[in-house]
Amino acid sequence: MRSRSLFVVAGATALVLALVGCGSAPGSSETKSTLEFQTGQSVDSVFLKQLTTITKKFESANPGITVDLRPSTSSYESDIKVRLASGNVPDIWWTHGWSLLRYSKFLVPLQNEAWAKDFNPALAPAMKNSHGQFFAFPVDTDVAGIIYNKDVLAASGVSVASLTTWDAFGRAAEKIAATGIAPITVSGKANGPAGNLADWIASGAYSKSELAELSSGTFVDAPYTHVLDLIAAWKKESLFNPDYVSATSDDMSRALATGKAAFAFSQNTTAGDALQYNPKANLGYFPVPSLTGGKPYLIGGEMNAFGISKTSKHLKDAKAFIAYLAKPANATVLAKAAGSIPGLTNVTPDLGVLQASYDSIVKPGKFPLVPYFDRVYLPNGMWNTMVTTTDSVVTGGHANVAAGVSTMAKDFARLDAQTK
Amino acid sequence: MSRTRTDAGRRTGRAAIGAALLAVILLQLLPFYVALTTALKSRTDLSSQWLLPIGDLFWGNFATAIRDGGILRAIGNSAVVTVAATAIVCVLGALAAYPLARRRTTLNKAVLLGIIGLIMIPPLSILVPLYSMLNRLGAINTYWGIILVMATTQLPLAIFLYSSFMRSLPIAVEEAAVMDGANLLQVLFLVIFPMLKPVTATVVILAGVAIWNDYALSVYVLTDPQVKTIAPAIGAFFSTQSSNLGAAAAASLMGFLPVLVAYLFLQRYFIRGIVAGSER
Repeated sequence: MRSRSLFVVAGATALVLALVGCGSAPGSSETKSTLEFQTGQSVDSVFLKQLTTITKKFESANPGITVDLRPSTSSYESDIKVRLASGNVPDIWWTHGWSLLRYSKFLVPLQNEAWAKDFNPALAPAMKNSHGQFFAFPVDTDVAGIIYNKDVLAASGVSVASLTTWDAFGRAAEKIAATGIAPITVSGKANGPAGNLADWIASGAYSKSELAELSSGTFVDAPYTHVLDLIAAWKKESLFNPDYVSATSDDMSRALATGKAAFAFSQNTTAGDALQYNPKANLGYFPVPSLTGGKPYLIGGEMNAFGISKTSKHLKDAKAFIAYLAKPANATVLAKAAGSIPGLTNVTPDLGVLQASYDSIVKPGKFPLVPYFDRVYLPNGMWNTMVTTTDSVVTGGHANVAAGVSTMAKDFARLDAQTK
Repeated sequence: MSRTRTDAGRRTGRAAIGAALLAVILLQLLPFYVALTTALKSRTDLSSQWLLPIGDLFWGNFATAIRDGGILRAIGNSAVVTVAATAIVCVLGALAAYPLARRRTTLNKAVLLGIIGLIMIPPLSILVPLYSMLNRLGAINTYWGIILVMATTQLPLAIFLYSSFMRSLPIAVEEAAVMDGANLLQVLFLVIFPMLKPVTATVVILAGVAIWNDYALSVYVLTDPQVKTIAPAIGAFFSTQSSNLGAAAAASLMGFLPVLVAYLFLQRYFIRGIVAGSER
């Protein structure tokens, strides 16, 4: 009898709570406009904290506007895809490198905004279309090379200035491996780092005419075979971390931070994460050697950028908010929190430990900045294929190169046909 | 002599079973141990995850989980969603199962097979149409929206379990109730439902735990921190650019405490329910 009463009480409580929940759904205010902003940031990240501080100041200055900053999870990309597909589009969202190629048809062009005159020209190839339009406010500019631990290289007697070819890189890696350190750290568990290996190398594996062929919808397989052959050679020489299969992106940062790895093919956020584990980690980055014997290059483009939905009911307010973020004082704080080069030219860079690499490699403009290979030369959806085929080579070596190239060619043809 | 040998054999057998059980317990506790060592260390403590922190314990991860991750609010949200959705699953599951178990017509058999077939549909394969429908209904980021989604995903299994259990109940009891003048609803509520306690416990465990832990759908339906449940709230410590394992581990430990407490209080029913479920 008593247990039955308990059940009834529990059930009634649940229903009451559920109804209370229904009643307290957000966004019921009519007088204020509320902007939903999908930030793409983890809930306790430094970047989100700075963004929150700036947003509060904006809200105080603009009492009629509330900005609902939403943190994200690692499934952010799928989340945005689902929302775009179903028509429930946030007012503002983080475009994670895809403001032009993937999201431009959903976003408002921003080139006529007052702050747009300070748009960093280095971002133009990645963010501007042929009409000079761009679709997101760039917080920073992504300039990536190969991240390295300076202390590990010094202890192995390797000079970073000598790493201008893949042969020199291979020899240096073998020298480092001889000291008992796994030279290259890669996460096989996360859906990305393995693909980065191929992405970084492929940009320098194709000639201009071959890149043009890719752009016109024909997969050129010989250069990609060279890319995977190089990775297979590293596998043969045991140059990857032995825990590749189970390692997470976090493990890559930890390995760099603790000197258990020398190199990482990754964006500079990995260096930022490493510094959270070991603030004294001595890190830098160097340009990626070219497989065709050309000049080493840096890879870059859009990183943290925020676009405004074309269908937003609060377009004017959203633009006002973005303009507020673009103010030099605010943009400086955000670019510093991101640890990258600012996306606007009137903002002062503060790159922390990576400042030295920036000053010696990026600032003089000696090395070309090429776009991410997959974003520009492969059809949408190829990233997963790139990750899985590279993964098969990192784990299986030369035996999987031919199959990897064949899979790339098939998926390229299939996905390219879908986009036409 | 032979008896002594048999006794020795029994003792050895028991010792082997004991050792095997101990190994299973250790294996089960291992993830909690690693979560604990991770949660009690600061980011700059780079000692092995297998080792407890040397020196002072670091409670900052728990503070981060509560302050930044809003994990206490997420636990409350999960409690609301789990209790409400599980209650709906039990009531609707039992009601739907009764005619399917008692009227074994060809149509009913086909309906039951169809319902069982629904168990095999991966939730993510229906994500876009489901999300679009919820969006049109205004159900995104609401308790009632996620409660309906969770109840719907768990109902097929509940109907299957209830119908299997009901088929094993003696029909004579219902006939006796009818003879005594009970109508169909009275038979259902006063005779059948009280006999469903063991299978209800099984359904509560299976559905309740699945709803409490759900990430696959909740992460899409609940993006507002005010209504987020535990799993998406923990997931918010991971993004494509950064992650905080320590705070996520602390949040996970806090998230499983309510389930642990519930289990400690209700373990009698749970064990009975699991045994009853396995007999069917």
